[in-house]
Amino acid sequence: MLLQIENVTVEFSLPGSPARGRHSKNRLTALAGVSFALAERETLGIVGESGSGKTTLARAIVGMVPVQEGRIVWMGSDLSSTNQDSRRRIRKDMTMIFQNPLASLNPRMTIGQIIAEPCQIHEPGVSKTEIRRRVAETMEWVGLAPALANRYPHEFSGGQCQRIGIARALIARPRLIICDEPVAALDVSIRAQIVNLLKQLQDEFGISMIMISHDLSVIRHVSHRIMVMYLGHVMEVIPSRHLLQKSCHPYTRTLIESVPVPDPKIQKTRELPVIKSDPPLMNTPASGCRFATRCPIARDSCSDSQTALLEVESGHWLACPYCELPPEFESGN
Amino acid sequence: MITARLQSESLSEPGPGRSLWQDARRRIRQNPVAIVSFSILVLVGVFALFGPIFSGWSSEDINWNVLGNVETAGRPALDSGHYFGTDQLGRDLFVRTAHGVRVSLMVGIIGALIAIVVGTLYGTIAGYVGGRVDNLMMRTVDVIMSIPYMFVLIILLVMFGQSIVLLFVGIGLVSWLDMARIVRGQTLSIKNREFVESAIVIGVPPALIILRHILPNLVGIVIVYATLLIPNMIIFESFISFLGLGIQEPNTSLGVLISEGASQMQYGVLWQLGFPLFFFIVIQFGFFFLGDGIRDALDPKDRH
Repeated sequence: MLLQIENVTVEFSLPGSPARGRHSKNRLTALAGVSFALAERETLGIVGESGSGKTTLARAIVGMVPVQEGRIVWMGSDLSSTNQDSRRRIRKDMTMIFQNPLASLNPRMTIGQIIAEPCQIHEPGVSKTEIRRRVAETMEWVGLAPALANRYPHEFSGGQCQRIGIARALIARPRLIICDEPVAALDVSIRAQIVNLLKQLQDEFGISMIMISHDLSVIRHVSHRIMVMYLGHVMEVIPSRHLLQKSCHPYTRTLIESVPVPDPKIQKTRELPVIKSDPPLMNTPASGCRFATRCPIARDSCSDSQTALLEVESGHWLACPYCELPPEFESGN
Repeated sequence: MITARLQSESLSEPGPGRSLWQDARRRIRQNPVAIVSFSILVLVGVFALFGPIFSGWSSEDINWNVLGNVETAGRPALDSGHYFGTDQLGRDLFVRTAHGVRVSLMVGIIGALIAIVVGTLYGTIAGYVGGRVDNLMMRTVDVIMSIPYMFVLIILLVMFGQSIVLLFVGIGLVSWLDMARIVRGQTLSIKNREFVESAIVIGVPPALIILRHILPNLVGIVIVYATLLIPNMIIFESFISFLGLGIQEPNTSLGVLISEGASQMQYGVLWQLGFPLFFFIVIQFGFFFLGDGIRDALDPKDRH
């Protein structure tokens, strides 16, 4: 296993709380006991609406958010107990692509300097000509002309900026790339290009990926497995080829049914999923299933006891004891 | 190898791109007010440095022929060589004004330089480190700011005697405070931008993040604030000198000249007030409009 996340909990204390004790009302639980494992060359997709903890999870993995409980194990070593030196070495292997392509590039640096930066940090001995050669090579991989290396980020379009971000992530040859909503800020017409580029590069270099998005179609296209999150809890984990047919958690079904149909006639007449109210405030403590307040099939017992994430089929994990597993036949979706 | 699908826009032509600085330079060239201000400031600077060469007088020579009859013999005239007239002691005002401008500009620029170096370093460190360090550093600034420095400086000047060193110490003590606050605020917002986060994820050490990612993005606001700070420093010095506590005779500054000119107003020698005041106002407006122009050029979004 490349990366193992074991029971990771991240809490933020809200401002204005004099007593910073645990379980006080002013603590916000962004991640509550999340566990998963990621194999080499695997892509894990993480979906969920805003506030479900997707980005916090990514930031916890790269060490930008302190973890209160649980362990993050990278190739056998626990990240919380590593010193600065090995942490820096791990940063070479684990990198990230950000949501806002232009904002993630320093406006005062040329894109050649931006792409070269990981190289300079992690391999200080490499000569300037070698770095220039590698920058040119990496730019070609992502579909940018190497002659543009002296340009500045504001001269590029959103899609091109994201290509620059991908080139920066690739140049040090990482083992894992975490993509935090890589296409959310892009035009629909550019999305497919970027998503396909990521997929291609992964096939070519054998990189593992964690792909975060709220767009099911993107996730389904690139991922091997899909993890559905709601308010910091994992609701369901399912191989992506089974997502449409076999997923059965009411929250996952709601997400699938909310995807708009690109035909106004059908879109107008079809029945929209029944979902009650907005998600509850994250700092209100809940004893049972977090989705119980909005769930169409909730029972009284749902809000009493914590629902465990159980493997119902090989590779299919589910945190709902009441939903029915769909029958084996292909349902028309 | 992946076949690179190159974008066939104007971008695909090779060569260096336009940096934000080049863009700013282009925009400021299109701003007539800023260009005129800049040219006037350059002319004032040339006058301050090289003006005295074109006069037969030095700043300390007393024209004994004029003494006692300043209203008529000492008025501005080309044939007497006193282009700006003389002061009450018969010294050439053209040369003295040039000296005054030189001293005032020096005070302003040194004050701004102290603000740039100390204020920027202090502000970035406080903003980037954050937490307790930030609190301690910025509360110190608050405490220093709450001291009525003009009052303290006047007492110091009275106690230890007037000296230009003490004046610079006073200016140095107060000029960086506002800069530190502005830079800290700006650092806080840059710190949370995604490109700094991505540098952290890449593993760039903190010192390098400040140097490579934060400081270059601060330069704009620092330059703008520094140009606006120079006239403030000149006012500060002029005020101290106007009170008679700043620059000492025979040295002079615009504040001293204006003060002397004002005291002679009622004797029909209005040029003694007029010429220094004219340069004072021109310098003030020049720097304010130049600073405004630079700000507009660096941040085109703010332009109407």
